[in-house]
This record gives sequence, structure tokens and C-alpha cells, in this order.
Amino acid sequence: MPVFVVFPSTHEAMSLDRLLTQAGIDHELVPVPREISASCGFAVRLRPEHEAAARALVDSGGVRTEGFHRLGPDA
Amino acid sequence: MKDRLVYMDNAATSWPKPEAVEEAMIRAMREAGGNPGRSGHRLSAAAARVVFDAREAVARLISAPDSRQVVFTVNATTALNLAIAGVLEPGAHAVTTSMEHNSVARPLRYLESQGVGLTVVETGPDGRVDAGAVARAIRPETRLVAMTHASNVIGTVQPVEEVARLCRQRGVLLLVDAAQTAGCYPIDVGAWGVDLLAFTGHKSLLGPSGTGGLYVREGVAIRPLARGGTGSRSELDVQPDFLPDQLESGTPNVVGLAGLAAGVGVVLEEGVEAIRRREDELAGRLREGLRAIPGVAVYGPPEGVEAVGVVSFNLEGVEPSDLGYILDVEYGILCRVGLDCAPWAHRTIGTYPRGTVRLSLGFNNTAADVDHVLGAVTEMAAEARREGKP
Ligand SMILES: Cc1ncc(COP(=O)(O)O)c(C=O)c1O
Repeated sequence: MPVFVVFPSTHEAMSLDRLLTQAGIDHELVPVPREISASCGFAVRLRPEHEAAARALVDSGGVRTEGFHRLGPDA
Repeated sequence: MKDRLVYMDNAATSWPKPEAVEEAMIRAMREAGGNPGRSGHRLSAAAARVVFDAREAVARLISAPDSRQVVFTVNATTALNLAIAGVLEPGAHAVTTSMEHNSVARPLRYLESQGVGLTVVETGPDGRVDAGAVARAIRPETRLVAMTHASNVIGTVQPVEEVARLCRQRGVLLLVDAAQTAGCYPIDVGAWGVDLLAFTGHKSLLGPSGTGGLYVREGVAIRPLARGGTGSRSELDVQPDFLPDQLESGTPNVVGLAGLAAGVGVVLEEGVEAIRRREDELAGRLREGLRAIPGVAVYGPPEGVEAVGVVSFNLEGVEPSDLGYILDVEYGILCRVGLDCAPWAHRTIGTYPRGTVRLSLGFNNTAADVDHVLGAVTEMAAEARREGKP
């Protein structure tokens, strides 16, 4: 089940996008799933095995998120 | 001689722009054409990356601890208005200097008409403001000190670091107008403790017109000038309270910001210190050369007072507008004449209402350009003497 990271603003999404790219962690910028939030803009979609690494980057990089969400079904 | 074009109007806007700036703008137009804050598709992501990169580049240039605190506007004037209107309310008091551009002077005068108190600290003809005099103008109800970092008329650099320290001691916000310094004079908002700093993208940052912005120190609250049009918090009727979104309403100038990021990239690669040294040397050569021409009056700071590469002068018996026209048509020298949007500064240096001829150096100018200008002014001065002017 993929993990979606959502953000208060596009800037935060871009921050994590950049950090993940620099760390060589596979990810995608996708529209925020309606089930998670009504915000427009981006979520970062990750494979579940990358969640811990992404959380570490969020902490070390001071990225503000509105949480990590698991949402199925396609992996 | 006539074929040669010497551009010395870089204080108005820099020209020519680096090729990297053009290329980045074309690339953004073709490959990053989505809306950066609204949609979630690949072109939208590409546009958002462009804006993000520009923010990071500017933050690095001014040593902002966090790029979130850099908000983009369309120019320095809008950033200054945002800062000034965003912190001052009727009953509050502000302090400024007699060297300000009207992008600071007018919004302050307007708010004065709406019940904001205003003190204008006078400087001598060298344009350098005394930090102690600024501090002495602070009252219990003072909320803001707004001052230029460097004069757009005579180049004088202000003691911003010292004023910042005094403002911090007194609990007053400091707004710095860095339109004439960002990109050609070192700025460290973090170390200096500047609260607000307005910059423009189209001068020494080498970006296109339509770019600029405001650095806001974390924790400083500003009322937005505009609301709505942020992709974030679409479900709410209130403006988000976090930066950059709070102060960036509507779709930004993505193509312009691509150019700005590239321009800042060129500046960072060359190094602000190196650019500063080069322009300072050229400005010294220009000031000295002009002073040696009979009939020429050079305004501005004497040796030893720091200035950026903006040099104002007049030739006895010739109107600045005539001089500017002849420099353009006969010599291919492009500069600005008149009051430079800064009547206060011209009053301060004693050139109001006639104004001056303003030569402003930039990234691309060379010693040969300076010598070409000196040759032209020497000829014009000789001509004026022959015609018996004044
Ligand atoms: C000192 C100063 N402040 C503000 C401005 C306004 O900048 P902008 O044209 O980007 O609004 C300028 C230049 O025009 C300037 O020289």
C-alpha cells in the first residue's frame, strides 16, 4: 500500500521532493488524494519501504508535513 | 564611436542579461508550463520546482536561514509596500531617512495621512545616515525603521548592521530596501538580524523585470496586501497563516523566476565579493575621472565612505536632460537623468529640482566603458566652454 505525504504548502512538497531526489529515493509528485485532504497541490507518493527514510529526511530537513497516509490499493 | 553602446543605467535595470537567464526562461516556458501551486501533474511539478529553486537561490544569496521566509513579488516596490502596509497601523510611528527612493517615501507619506507618525532622519550631502540619529528618533510607539541599503542616486551604503542592532535593542522592526545592493554588495540577513528585506530581481541579480521579493524574518507577522489564489488550504475562506503562501497570492511569474534563479546563479558563481570589488574599482575610476574634468560637479560620498557603483554628476551650464540626450545620440552612452524617483535624496545632496546625470555600473561594464564615458564628458565640457556656457 503506497504512502502519501501531504503538506501545508507546495514549498514543503518541493523541499521533500528535492531531499528525496538528492538521497536517490524513488518517489513521485502526485495530486493530493481526495480521501486525505481537500487541498490542491502535491502529495509525495512513496513505496512503503521508503517511509522510514522519508520520515528521517523530513525531520533532518525541517520539512513541514500534514502527515504520512497509507492508501490502497495499488502499490 | 557611434556604433558602440555603453550601458550605464544598471541602477534602473541591468542589461544585457546573461545568456543563462534567457535560456532558463525559454526552458521554463517550454518545459515547466503548468501552474506551480494548483494542479498535480508533471508540468505543474516542473513549474513548482522552478519557483522552489528561485527561492533557494535568493535565500542563499542573502544568507536567509530558511527559504520559506523569502516571498516573491513583482518588484521591489511591491515588496516595500507589502512590508510597510503590513506592519504599520494608525497610531504607530515609523522612522526613515532623507535618502529614500519614493517606493519607500510614498507609502510612508500615505500612511502618515492615515494617522501613522513619521520621522525622517536627515543625512549630510554624503548621504550617509548616522545610526545613532536613527536610534534617537525611535519613540515608545515606533514600530518600524525603513531605510535603503544603498542610495540609488549617489550609491552611499548605509550602516544597516549597526541600525539593525539598535533596532533589536529597542524592539523595533527594521525594513531594508536592498534594491541597489542585492547581487553587488554582501548581504547577510541572518547575521545582521534584519527583520525585513526587499529586493528586486531585475537589477544586480541579473533577472528579468517582473521579479522581486521580500525576506521576512521568522516570527515577524505581516498583514498580506492580497488574499486568495494559493493552492494550499483550498477548502478555507481564510488566507493561510504560513509562509510563503500567506504573502504570495495568485499564480507567480514562473518564467521570470526561472530567469531570476539563473541570474542569481551567475552572481553566486562569480561571487558577490568579487563583483563588489570590480564595480568598486570601476566606480572609483569613474568618480576620479569625472572630478578631474573642469566644470563637472560629482555628488556623493567622499573617499572612505562606502558606496555602490552609482555615480551622479552635473556639467556646468548644461541641463542634465540635454547631457543625457547627447550621451545617448552622440556617444552611445545610456544613463538616467533627472530625479531618479528620489526627490528626497536630491534635496539632501542639493540637486533638487534640476537633478543630475546618473551613471550606474553593472556586471558587464569594463574599464574601457568608463574611459569611453570620461572621453565623452571631457569633449562635452570643452564644447560647453567654447560656447561660453554658462
Ligand atoms: C533604492 C530603490 N528602491 C526601490 C526601487 C524600486 O525597485 P523596482 O523597480 O523593482 O520596484 C529602486 C529602483 O527602481 C531603487 O533604486
